Amino acid sequence: MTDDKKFETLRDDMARLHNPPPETPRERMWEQIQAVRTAERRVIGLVLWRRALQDRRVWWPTAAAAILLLGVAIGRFSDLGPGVPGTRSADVAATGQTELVAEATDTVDSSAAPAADSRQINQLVYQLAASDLFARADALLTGFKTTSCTSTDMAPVPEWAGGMLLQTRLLMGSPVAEDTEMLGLLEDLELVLAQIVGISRENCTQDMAWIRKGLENRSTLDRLRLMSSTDPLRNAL
Amino acid sequence: MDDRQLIQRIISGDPVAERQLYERHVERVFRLAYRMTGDATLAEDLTQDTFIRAFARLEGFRGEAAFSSWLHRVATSIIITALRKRSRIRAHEATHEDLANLGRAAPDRDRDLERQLGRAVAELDENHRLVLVMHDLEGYTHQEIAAAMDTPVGTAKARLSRARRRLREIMTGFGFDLSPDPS
Repeated sequence: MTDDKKFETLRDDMARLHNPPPETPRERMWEQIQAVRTAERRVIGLVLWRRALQDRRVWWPTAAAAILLLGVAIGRFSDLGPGVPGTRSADVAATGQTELVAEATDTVDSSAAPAADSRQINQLVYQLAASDLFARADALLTGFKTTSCTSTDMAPVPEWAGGMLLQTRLLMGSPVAEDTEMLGLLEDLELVLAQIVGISRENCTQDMAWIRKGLENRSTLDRLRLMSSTDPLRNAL
Repeated sequence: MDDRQLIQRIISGDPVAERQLYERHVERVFRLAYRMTGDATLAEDLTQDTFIRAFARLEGFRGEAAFSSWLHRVATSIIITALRKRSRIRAHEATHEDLANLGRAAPDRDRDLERQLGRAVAELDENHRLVLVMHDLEGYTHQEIAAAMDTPVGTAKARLSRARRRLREIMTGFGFDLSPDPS
C-alpha cells in the first residue's frame, strides 16, 4: 500500500471514528431557539415602553417581568429548591410575567414626563438579568463547593449549570458585556459552568476538585457576590 | 421555494418559513458543531446560538452570497470561539507520551485509533481542524469552506493541505505507520 493510500485509509477511519454525530435533535433545539427569540422580542417591546420608567409603580414589575422572561424563555428556568433567592418554577414564572406585563401596560401614563433614553433602559434590563443570574450562580456554586458526587443534591446540578450557561452566553452578547469587568466575570462564569456541565461520571471526584480549585484561584464567588449585590435600580430611580 | 424567498417571508413574519429554513440547514450545522467539539450538549448550544444570531440578523442579509455560506460563516465563528474558550478547560488532558504508549498492547484497534485520531485532531489549531473536518469528514466543497471561513478558495485549499500534512506528522509521531510498504 502506498503512502498516499495509507493516508487515505487514515482519513476514512477518521470520518468513521472521529466524533461521529448522533441524530440531530431538531425539535429540542427548535424549541430553545423559539423560546429565546420570543423573549428577545418581548424585551424589545418592554424597552419601547419608555414612558413607564417615569412611573415608579410600573418600573419594578416591568423589569422583573423582563428578568423572568429571559429566564423562562431560555427554557431551563427551574425551581432550585428552598433557600435559593429569586427562583420560581417555569410555569409560575410564565403566568406571573403575563400578569405583570398586563399590569404594566395598564398603568402606563401617556402624559408622564419625557421618555428616558431607550439605550439606557435596554442596558438596565440586561443589568437586572445579569444581577439575577449572578445571584443564582452564587447559590449554585456555594452548594457545589460542599456537595459530593454521591450526594442526591448533585444530580440536578449539571442541568441547572447548563441553563445558566446559556443565559451567560446570551449576556456575553448583550450591552452589559461592554463593561470589561462584567465581561471578565461572565467569561469566568461561562468557564466554570461549562466545566460543571462536562463533569464525567468516571472522574467525578477529580473533576469536582479541579473545578473548586479553579473557583478559588479566580475568586469567582467573591466577584459574583460583589456584582449581584449591586442594585442597578438604585441608580435608575 | 429557495432560501431567498423563505427569508423574505420570514422578514414579513411568516413562522412557517422560519421553520422551513431551519429544517433545511440545521443538520449540517449540528453535525459540524458535533464533529468539532465531540460534545452533544455543547454542539446543541452552538447550533442554537447560530440560528438565534442568524435569525436576529436576517434583515441585514443582503443575498450577495448563498444563505448557506452566510449561515456557516456565523456557525464557524461561534464554534471557533467556543473551542478557544474550551481549550482553557482542557489543560489536564493526556500528554503525548501517554498517547504514544496507548496503542501498543490494547486489544481494540478501533478504540485506540479513535483516541489517537481525537488527540491528533485536537493538536491542530482551530482553523486547520475546521477545514479538515469540513472537507474530509463532512464533505463540504472547497468553495463552501472558503465562503464559511471568508477566505479565497486557494487559501482554503492550502489550509487543507497543511492540515493533512500536520495530521500525518502527528500520527507518525504517535507511532502510526504511514510509511510506504517495501516493494
